[in-house]
Amino acid sequence: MKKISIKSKRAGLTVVAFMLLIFLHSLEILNPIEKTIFNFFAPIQKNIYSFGLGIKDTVETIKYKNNLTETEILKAQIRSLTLQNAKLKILGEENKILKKELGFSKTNEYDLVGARVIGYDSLHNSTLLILELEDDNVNLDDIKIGMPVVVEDGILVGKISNINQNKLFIQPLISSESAIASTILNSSYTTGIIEGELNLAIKMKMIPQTEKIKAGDLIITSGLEAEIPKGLLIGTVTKVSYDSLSPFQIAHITPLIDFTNLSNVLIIKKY
Amino acid sequence: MFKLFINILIVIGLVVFKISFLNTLPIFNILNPVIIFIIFLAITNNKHYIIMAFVAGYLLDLYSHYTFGINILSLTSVAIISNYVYTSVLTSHRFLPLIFLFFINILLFHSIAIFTISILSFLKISPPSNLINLETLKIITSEAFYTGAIIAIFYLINNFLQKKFSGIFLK
Repeated sequence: MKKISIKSKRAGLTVVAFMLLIFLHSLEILNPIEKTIFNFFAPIQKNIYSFGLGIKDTVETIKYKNNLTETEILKAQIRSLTLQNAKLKILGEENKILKKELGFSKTNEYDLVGARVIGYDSLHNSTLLILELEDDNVNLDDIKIGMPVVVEDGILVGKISNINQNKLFIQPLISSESAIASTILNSSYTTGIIEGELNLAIKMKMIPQTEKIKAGDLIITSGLEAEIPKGLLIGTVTKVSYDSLSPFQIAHITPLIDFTNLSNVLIIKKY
Repeated sequence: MFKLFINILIVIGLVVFKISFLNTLPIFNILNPVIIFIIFLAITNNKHYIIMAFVAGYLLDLYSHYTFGINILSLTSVAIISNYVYTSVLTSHRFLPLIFLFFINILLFHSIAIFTISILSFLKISPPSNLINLETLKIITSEAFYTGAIIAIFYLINNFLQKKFSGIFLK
């Protein structure tokens, strides 16, 4: 009897402590403590994360020992050529518009903020990445949910999905909850929404059957979303699925980056 | 007090290890050493197991974009249930019941978390989320199986070592 009363007392105290913690957190009273914890562990986490990526790379190197170097060089070449191709196509398209609207000029100079990946969201069925800003002088209030995150010369990784004190969370393109307005660089510049699928792949659904799409077509952002500039590279079409019963077709897209190997990224603040 | 401090350090280490190291490695990213440690403390009837579940949940919540408190709620519930089942319900504390307990508790942890997230989304308290799907179920079941397998290996090694060296210590 005594044991049960001690246990129920403990359970009661736990519930009270839980409610109190939620209350204090919602009032942001715990912010300084939480910020201190995050700032203290961020550098350690950065190193542990890099170490983890290093181990993963070493395992992959051993696994694909002979083909890796050659494959990596070819992959880098494909990325670079795809990027050039996309830029040329965008320039071609822009040129047509510029001819019509003389005097209009546009440059692709983005206001970028550097950030480092330090880990993944703690609930593992989520692929969200945790970011830490590289520059301490950057004001976190300038970063907004929905801002695009890129690597290299404008290859889109995803967008900011949550800002929590010092922490930023990115939702990668492959995440099931990710949706981005994009354009296929085919003859008719088909626009649509690309969605992540099961944290593994990217698809563009609801494309009318009349649109002509083929494997190898490039996908870029369409610029229809306020925060995301036009022309950020997403990937290439690898397969197109047709269903005679459906009025739509699906484009299966291969991204140009490995989402499990991200370390340094750039947030586009303004464009 | 010293034991509590050591346990807190272990929990902090495990949280950082899970978020920044295990999650980068394929296959291993499915494991959650924090839940394993909390269940271990609960079934060994550690004096501070509820506090530890609370601390671990709080730290996990700091590294989650979901509504604050979900990890605390799931982990503390799992710790209390594990302790109750192991000390008051299970009559045998041998191999199979122990593995089964870990298996069920991993499923329970994720079920509580997903159920809470879904309810909060439904009530529009938190942003909409799509966690109830086949892929999530697959990941959670795999985690429960892998955890069960790892606990089984540790249990067998521990038993083997105890048998092997008990004679030496008795002398």
